[in-house]
Amino acid sequence: MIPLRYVVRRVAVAAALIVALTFLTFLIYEAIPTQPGRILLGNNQHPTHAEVALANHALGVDRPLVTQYADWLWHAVRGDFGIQWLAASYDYQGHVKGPSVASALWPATVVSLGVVAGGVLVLLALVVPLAAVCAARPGSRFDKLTAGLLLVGISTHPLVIGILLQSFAANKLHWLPNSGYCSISYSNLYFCSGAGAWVEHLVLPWITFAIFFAALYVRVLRVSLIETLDEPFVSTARAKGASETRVLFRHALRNALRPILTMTGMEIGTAVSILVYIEVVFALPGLGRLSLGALNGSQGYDRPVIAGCVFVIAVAVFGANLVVDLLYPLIDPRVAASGRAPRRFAPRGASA
Amino acid sequence: MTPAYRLTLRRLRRDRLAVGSGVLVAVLLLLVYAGPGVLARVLGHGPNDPLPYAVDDNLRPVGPWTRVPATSNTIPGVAYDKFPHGTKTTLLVLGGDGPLGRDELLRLLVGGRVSLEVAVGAAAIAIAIGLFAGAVAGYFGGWLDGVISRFADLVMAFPLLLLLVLVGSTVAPQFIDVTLGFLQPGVAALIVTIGVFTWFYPARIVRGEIAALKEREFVESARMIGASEWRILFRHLLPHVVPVLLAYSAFLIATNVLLEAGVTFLGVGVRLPTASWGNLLATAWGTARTPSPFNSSQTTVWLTVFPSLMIFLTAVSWTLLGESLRRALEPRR
Repeated sequence: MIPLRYVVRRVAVAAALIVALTFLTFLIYEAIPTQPGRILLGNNQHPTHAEVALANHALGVDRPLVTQYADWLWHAVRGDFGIQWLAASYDYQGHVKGPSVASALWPATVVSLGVVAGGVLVLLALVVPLAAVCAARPGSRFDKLTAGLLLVGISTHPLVIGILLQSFAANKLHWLPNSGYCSISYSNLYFCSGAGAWVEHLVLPWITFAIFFAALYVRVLRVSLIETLDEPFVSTARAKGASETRVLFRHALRNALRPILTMTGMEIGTAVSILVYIEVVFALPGLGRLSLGALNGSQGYDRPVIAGCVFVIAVAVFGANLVVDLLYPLIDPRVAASGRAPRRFAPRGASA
Repeated sequence: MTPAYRLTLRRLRRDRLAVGSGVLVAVLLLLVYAGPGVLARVLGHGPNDPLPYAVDDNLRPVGPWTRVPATSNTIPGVAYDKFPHGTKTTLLVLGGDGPLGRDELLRLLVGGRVSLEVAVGAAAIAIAIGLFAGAVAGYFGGWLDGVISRFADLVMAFPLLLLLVLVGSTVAPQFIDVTLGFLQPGVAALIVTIGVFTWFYPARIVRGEIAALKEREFVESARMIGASEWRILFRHLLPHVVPVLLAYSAFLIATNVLLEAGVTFLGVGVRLPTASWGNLLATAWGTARTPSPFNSSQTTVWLTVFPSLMIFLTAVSWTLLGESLRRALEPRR
């Protein structure tokens, strides 16, 4: 059962942290010498001070910072996150009009989620068998070879993995498209769409994601499995006549998952960083590319979009952390998610 | 030298991995700092000399080990008119670096200086801030610990790369001309940006160690003979965290090399014309802001492979060095 008070408390803390992070974004924006009004005056090469002041007023950036932040927060609560500055213009009455941030934010979120979801599946398919074989015979030639390969994987830049995959599998051998994104739902409005095209364009990003994280996770799962295989209940299972495969997958694996869960909680931020690299290399219109575009600065910084991206990413990070903490008692009943955060890396003897 | 450190040194000397990675680190440093000067003399052209014959009609650079006519050089002391056009050739060991036809090898070595300076400088800043913040939080505890730890948790949960891009593209460009007299433009700003966002990890380590150590008897005895809090902290406690931090700084340098390449690739780190491994990686591909579309008649895979290899070698050698340092300094863990 999920303890409700615990969840409510965690959500409240997360909400406060998200407010703090987005306010930090606004504070950083204050530190840049920039005139957001100039974005509105795009085709006016030499605007007068009065015109810039008027444009700043139309965007509302002449108000105090706290007021501007409260205004953005109100828009966030309403769900549109304000207007995209880089796409905004004056209408006939001199008001500012333009597409809302939400209209760019949610499609980008869907793209990023697709990359992460598929990447995690490929990662699991890679990590579990590798770790299982390595843990079954620690110190064997296969184990040593894998350890060497993992060192290579961990020291290779995710960008390099992506670029090399792209230049060989796509540019040289033409197995897969080298970049771009296709919507998963079929529509004849786009150049390409549908599940097949979606998968085709995302296979290389998924593999990049998986290769980068495989190094980290195989190490952790291998050590955890070796430890678990030493425990008495495994000997009992073996004594009852269970096959080695059954012992590994039915008895040991589930108990060895706890450090993996801890890693997942700690590495969600890293996953988003990797996502930025992947989206850049494979030209996927996801959250990372959206925030990079808003931070480009050649035309001006798009603060509502930046704050929107920070908001969504922060929600994802804190949300995933909460889910991870709630999963502990499910995979390991010895850990109880009571009113306080479950102990990570609790000593085995103490909790058993 | 105290006996403990002599013991550590002996352990390091016996560890083949430690010796190997140490040698690799030293060789890379030597290559990067002494290599360009020597090689420029030997080859007869400098890292910034464009060689028009090092690219073909499509501006695709020549491959490794190619001789091209020596048409320009800027090496002081070597007269330019000793090489009339087309009569003397010069060797490009790793080929050309892109449409401008400069020497890829020399650019790699010169760029390595920038990458390593960023990595080491940022690690030094992170360790310095982390040591102080972690020590204060761990020793004094209370609200100070609360503030520092919660702040660290908040920033560590958020993707580091996005924070770097956020600050690197908005605040850092204002400090692009800060060179401190010996750095390339933009490097100091990147060093500070990376350092300011990576001190949380060492701070957490130091905090944990200090919080555990301050309950020990020797602290009590020091306090009993009248040592001040700061004296206990700096003279009695901090020397204990030096080994851990020493090993950690090697890991930090390895990750910072990767981070520099990534941030520069995204278009917010070291800016052209300054070479760095991130910039060299981006010559073939373009940066995130100005991607060059794939063109099979222009691209050579070498321009991706060589910088990748340098980044990889540096990361591996520093990681292994950190690993063996950690083992040698605290063999029981």
